[in-house]
Amino acid sequence: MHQSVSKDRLISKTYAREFYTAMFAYAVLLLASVFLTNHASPSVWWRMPLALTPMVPIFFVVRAFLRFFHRIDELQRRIQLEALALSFGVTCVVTFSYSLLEYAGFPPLSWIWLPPFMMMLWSLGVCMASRRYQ
Amino acid sequence: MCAWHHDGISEPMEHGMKNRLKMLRAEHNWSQAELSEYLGVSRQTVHALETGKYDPSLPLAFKIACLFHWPIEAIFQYNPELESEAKND
Repeated sequence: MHQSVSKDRLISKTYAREFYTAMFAYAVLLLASVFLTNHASPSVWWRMPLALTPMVPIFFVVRAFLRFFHRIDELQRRIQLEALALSFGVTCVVTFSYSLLEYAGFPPLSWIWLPPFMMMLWSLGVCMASRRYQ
Repeated sequence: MCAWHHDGISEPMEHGMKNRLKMLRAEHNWSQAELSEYLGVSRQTVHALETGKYDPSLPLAFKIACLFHWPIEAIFQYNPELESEAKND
């Protein structure tokens, strides 16, 4: 009776383990990369590869999500897709709108805010889609 | 195939589909967790199927039919009138 629950939990646990391990590695590499990049001479060739090193664990974050996505059942997959569609659509509208506002004098924003914004909308989308099927 | 038998059938949703999953599960004295285990889906999915909030894919519908040894059209029923009613609401 409890095997199905265990299977669900196992999928979530595996995802959480892979995700948090990769995010921990990202945080460590980000701190190290920023510190070393700031202290390195501007002329050294390895400054750019060093600045990009935090992206290596991000690849594993994406891999963890794709593995999770292929393990969940069809309804959960639909919920994720609906959430991603919401995130994509709203992000397009907001970024296009802000780009137009920049022509009108708004200050330019860093691209670094884009992924957290999309992830926030994605989480919101998962909550909204889950409620529809409850 | 589209005839309605009102006992034990879920409420129709936007696609005009109804199903007898809850009744069949009750006949077998299975919990939602047990059924979800047999079907290889989450309990949330079984609940959504039973309440008619989610229509299964064709493979999952066949899996359900095989599990209960019932014809697929006896478990899942489609009424186009309900679909148009839902759209007009």
